[in-house]
Amino acid sequence: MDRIKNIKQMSNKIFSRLNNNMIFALSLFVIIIFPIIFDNSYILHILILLGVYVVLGTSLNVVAGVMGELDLGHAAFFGIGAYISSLFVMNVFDNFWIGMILAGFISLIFGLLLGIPSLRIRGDYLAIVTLGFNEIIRYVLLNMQSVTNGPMGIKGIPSPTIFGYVLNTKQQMFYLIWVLVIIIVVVMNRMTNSRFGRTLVAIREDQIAATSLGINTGKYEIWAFAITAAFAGIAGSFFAHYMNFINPNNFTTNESILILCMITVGGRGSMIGSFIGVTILFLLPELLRPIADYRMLIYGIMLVVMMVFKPRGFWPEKRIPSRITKSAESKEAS
Amino acid sequence: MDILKLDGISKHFLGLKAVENVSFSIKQGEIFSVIGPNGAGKTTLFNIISGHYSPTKGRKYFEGKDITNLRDFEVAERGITRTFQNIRLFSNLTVLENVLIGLHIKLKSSILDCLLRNSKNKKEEDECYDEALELLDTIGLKDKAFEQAKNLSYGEQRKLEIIRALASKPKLLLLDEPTAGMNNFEAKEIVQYIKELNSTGLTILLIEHNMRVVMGVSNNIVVLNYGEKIAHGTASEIQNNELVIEAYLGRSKKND
Ligand SMILES: Nc1ncnc2c1ncn2[C@@H]1O[C@H](COP(=O)(O)OP(=O)(O)O)[C@@H](O)[C@H]1O
Ligand SMILES: [Mg+2]
Repeated sequence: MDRIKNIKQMSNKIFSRLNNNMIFALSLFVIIIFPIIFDNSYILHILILLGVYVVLGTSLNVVAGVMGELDLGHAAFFGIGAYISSLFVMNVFDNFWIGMILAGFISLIFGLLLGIPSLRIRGDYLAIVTLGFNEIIRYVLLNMQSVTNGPMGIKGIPSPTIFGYVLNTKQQMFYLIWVLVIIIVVVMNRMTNSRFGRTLVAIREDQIAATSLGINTGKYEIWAFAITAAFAGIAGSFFAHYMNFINPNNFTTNESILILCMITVGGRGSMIGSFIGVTILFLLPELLRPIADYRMLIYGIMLVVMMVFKPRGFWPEKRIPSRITKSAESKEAS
Repeated sequence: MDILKLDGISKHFLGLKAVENVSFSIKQGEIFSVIGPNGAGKTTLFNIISGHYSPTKGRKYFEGKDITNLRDFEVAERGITRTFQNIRLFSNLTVLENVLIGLHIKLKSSILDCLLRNSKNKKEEDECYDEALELLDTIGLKDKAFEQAKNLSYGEQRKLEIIRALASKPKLLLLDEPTAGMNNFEAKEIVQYIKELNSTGLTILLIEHNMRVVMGVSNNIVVLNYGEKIAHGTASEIQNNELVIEAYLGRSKKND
């Protein structure tokens, strides 16, 4: 009993709701004051793109980390979101928010479609399907010239607006993306620490055991693909309206693999790990800019060394449940 | 009342008749055992009952309803859960999480409820943690709730697998060689536990290799050999059945 108490106290220290709230408040504080203190357009630009990648990384983590499916096609949804939103806003109805919601929705549909093969195949085979999906999307974007303008991409995508007020400074965009990051990360955190999230881990650990317990694994797998695709689509929409220019090269399989590398370095399966991984691998090339010639070399060496010494990532998934109920604690105390 | 009825069940793997024309009924509340030498088709029969395989021929009924075409998770939803001959825990997860996953079908939160963590989901999550801890308490594993399942002893893993299958309050529990690989002491403990479960009204279908275990606990026994049912009866009837003796002696000549 002492032992269980200790473990509980420990896990409480790390994860308790109070601390979650504190982390939340602290990050909110940092996000609010950061652009005021560092009003430097280069730094803000990097951090805005970092926000985009955090959404991509943490959402991919649900499929590739929590559910354990090797998904090499995440950038496809990023691209679908970017194009849908741009085309809609420029040709149909000039409202960024509706464009973003539509981007999320269409990506969700494509995610459902990509989820279907996951019912039948797993592992390496599914990896190839997702890779192929990413390539198909890229070719469609390249070749449907009349709609997507092919390799030239789409120029002059309008910046986001709020009630007719155009958000076009770096500061405003910084706030917009990081608010999105917080909302999306909170939703995904709830998702993974719930009945739904547990089914995903169960699928990763042992699909046969999971179905024997009454889990309709296919349904949850497909929804995991779909929901995280929607988040990637939303990130794509933001990206398009922030950069004001997109082309198919932004959404290649290389991009998908890079995102997978990021969360692997951070710790697949762990939300915090994914966040850390994305941050390190995204900022590193920027920090190494002064020694530009050796940049990719150092980057590569870092990856190898990292995987040798910390194969499960900087912040591996912890299997201590994050919710320990108050009543269970009070029983413990008595 | 029959809780489960098998009617002419066969399963062929590319011409190999793993199970051939097996029929029997299990009564509500009994411990029913399937025995037979290695390779007799016991596990295959379990996989058919649990919906993991669909039978090549035959039909199966649970509580009077035809469940032949249900998929495995649907069979579990109806109230049949199982353990595996080679333990299949979620071994990297904590003991507690294993039981929480076992509670899955009892929880009602939809995917959207989970994403939003609305009040319904919050309440349910709180309750299921308590319930899982209580279940672990009944088998003396509450202390180990936060250990990884793979760090448990073999006997504890067996128990955890059973309680995980029981979490959703099934009506029929399938146990595939629950004492396999255990020493005598551990085996006795498990047998005692099976009896206790049965005394609460749970119907149990037990596969066993070990004759001694079966004879002590079973109300009815079916013996399989090369996929076919060669005997059906109470423990004493089975013990004196010539075909059964032959099947077991035959086996010991061949490989043991
Ligand atoms: N998936 C499968 N594919 C092919 N043959 C199988 C399969 N599962 C079981 N068998 C064969 O069916 C026979 C019965 O196996 P099994 O049901 O595991 O026996 P038991 O549990 O009684 O030891 C064995 O000959 C086994 O090799
Ligand atoms: Mg077997």
